[in-house]
Amino acid sequence: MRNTFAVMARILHQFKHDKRTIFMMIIAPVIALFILNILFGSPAYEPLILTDGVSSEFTSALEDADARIEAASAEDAMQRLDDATADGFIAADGDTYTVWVEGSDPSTTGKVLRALASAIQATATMPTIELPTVTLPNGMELDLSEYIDLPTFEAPAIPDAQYVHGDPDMNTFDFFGPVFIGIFVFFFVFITSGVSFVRERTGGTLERVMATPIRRWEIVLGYVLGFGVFSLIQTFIVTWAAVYWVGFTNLGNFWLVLAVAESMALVSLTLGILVSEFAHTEFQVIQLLQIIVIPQILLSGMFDLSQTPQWMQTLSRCFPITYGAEAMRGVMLRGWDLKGIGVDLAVLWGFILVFIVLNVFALRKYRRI
Amino acid sequence: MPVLTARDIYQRFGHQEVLRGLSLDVEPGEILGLLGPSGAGKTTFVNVLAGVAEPASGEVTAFGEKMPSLKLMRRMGYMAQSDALYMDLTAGENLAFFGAIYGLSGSALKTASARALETAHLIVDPRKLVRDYSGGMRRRLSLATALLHAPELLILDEPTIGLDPLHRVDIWDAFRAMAAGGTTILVTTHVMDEAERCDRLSLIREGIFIAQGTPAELKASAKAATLEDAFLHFARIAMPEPAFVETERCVD
Repeated sequence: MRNTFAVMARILHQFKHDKRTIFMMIIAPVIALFILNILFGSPAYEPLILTDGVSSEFTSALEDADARIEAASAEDAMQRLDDATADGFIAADGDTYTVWVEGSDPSTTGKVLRALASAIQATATMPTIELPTVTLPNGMELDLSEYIDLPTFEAPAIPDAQYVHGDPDMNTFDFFGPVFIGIFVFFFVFITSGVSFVRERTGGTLERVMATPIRRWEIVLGYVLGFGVFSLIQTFIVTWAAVYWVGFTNLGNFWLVLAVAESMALVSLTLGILVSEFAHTEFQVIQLLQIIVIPQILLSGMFDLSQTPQWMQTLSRCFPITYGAEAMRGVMLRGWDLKGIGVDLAVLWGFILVFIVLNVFALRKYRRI
Repeated sequence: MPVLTARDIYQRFGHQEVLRGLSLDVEPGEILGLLGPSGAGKTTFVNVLAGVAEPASGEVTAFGEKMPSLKLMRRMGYMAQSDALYMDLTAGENLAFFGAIYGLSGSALKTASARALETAHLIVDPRKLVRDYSGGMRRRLSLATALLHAPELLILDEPTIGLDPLHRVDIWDAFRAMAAGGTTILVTTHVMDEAERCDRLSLIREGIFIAQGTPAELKASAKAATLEDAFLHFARIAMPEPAFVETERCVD
């Protein structure tokens, strides 16, 4: 165990001298989060809808539905849709509407159509029945509506949904946010640990260390502790900045979020060391990153997999990031506690242990004991 | 009893046999030189002896016990052909790391570092990173890390490569002094004048020993004036035809 701390101390000393790596490990995620911060903070896009021949009542209903309105002739409007300088065109002929959308961005298209639907609903005229006043032979006028209960017609009200998790102000970004945090951490830790271990192999220091009476597990555990300390600092910064600076929705306990993110960092660390076994240069670590990390990210559940072929869903269950992403969402979007994400967290730690054992085994190449 | 024994060591990389049945005894307190051209298998062989590579077959014993063993490795010092230093640490931090594995810390580490650096003829700047050292300084620091725990057996792979002649002489004097004090030293070299300074030599070529003996014995039996001529003589006898037709792979 003493040797484990010697390896850990050495790694921390190396970090201490390598200001650029420290800077990169902290600044790179912060830059990414800064960009997200701006994307997040900007107001939602209001679609530009061109109209021709619609009533002023309809126009103001569209404006109430967060659309910008301009009048335009049909010919002019079609040209502008083609140039993608407008998002939709509504032409009215009496009660009949003709609608065109620009169509390249589904989310903008959705906004145009929702504004249209809401305006139609708001301006719909409900039929009313009016009973004529009857003049009796004696000259008395009789208001029949006092005697007959007439039905009234009203547009059906849309009920307000009650939210089990989250609130109406949440947007698509909030759904991806927790997964982003996990992926950032995974990505950056993978590169640092993989490259650093490849350097040990190619620089001859790993072989040199194997000539000392150190046990293989002491080396691996030393690496996990040394990089673990550093990744904890990095994970804390990323998570803190994401939640309190950028403002990712977090309904759960911040420390639990940190625990999940750090578990992902440790999976990435142990996997990075293992993968470096198959790389001869630092460049190859980056190449392996493309094979080992990118598919994991795509299949992490960031995108909905429920309608994909079964084999793809099964594959996704084999990747550690999937469990990390699930746990991050559980805590941040649903406010789950340790019990709720227990299984995911246990699977992550299972991966960590398996990777540690495989690393200890991989060092057999140098020495049997 | 020999301090280090190798019996019938074979090593393969892919299809190529790099070591072909090497056997060797290193006696206590001697300086044994492993002399051969680059690519002969010297580094592969000493890596097996030092316990940092598994041979395909064969057996190594050190201090009368089977290798690899952590207990035995504690009594051995190994200097790799590459400097094998942490470039982003200072000399002191490199020594502290290797020292820690041998249980050296505090004042014991300080004393041991000072002694090892003196033997390696190196004065270090406590703030300078190894990255900024010259090749010769790195070489000597690498030697100092191997000497740190005062091992009984030293395995040194080309320890003086890249050193200026003055340092080379000083360091060989230090080897001689350590051997006189009872330390056993196994050193690889491809430089003939260094080979002259060894007590005994094993000449290696293409993974086999072509001759073994003291420098004087080798020259006498080859009827050669220089070790270089003797080497050529034994090489011709041992392998009249080039054994390998395929391109030689660098194993260093």
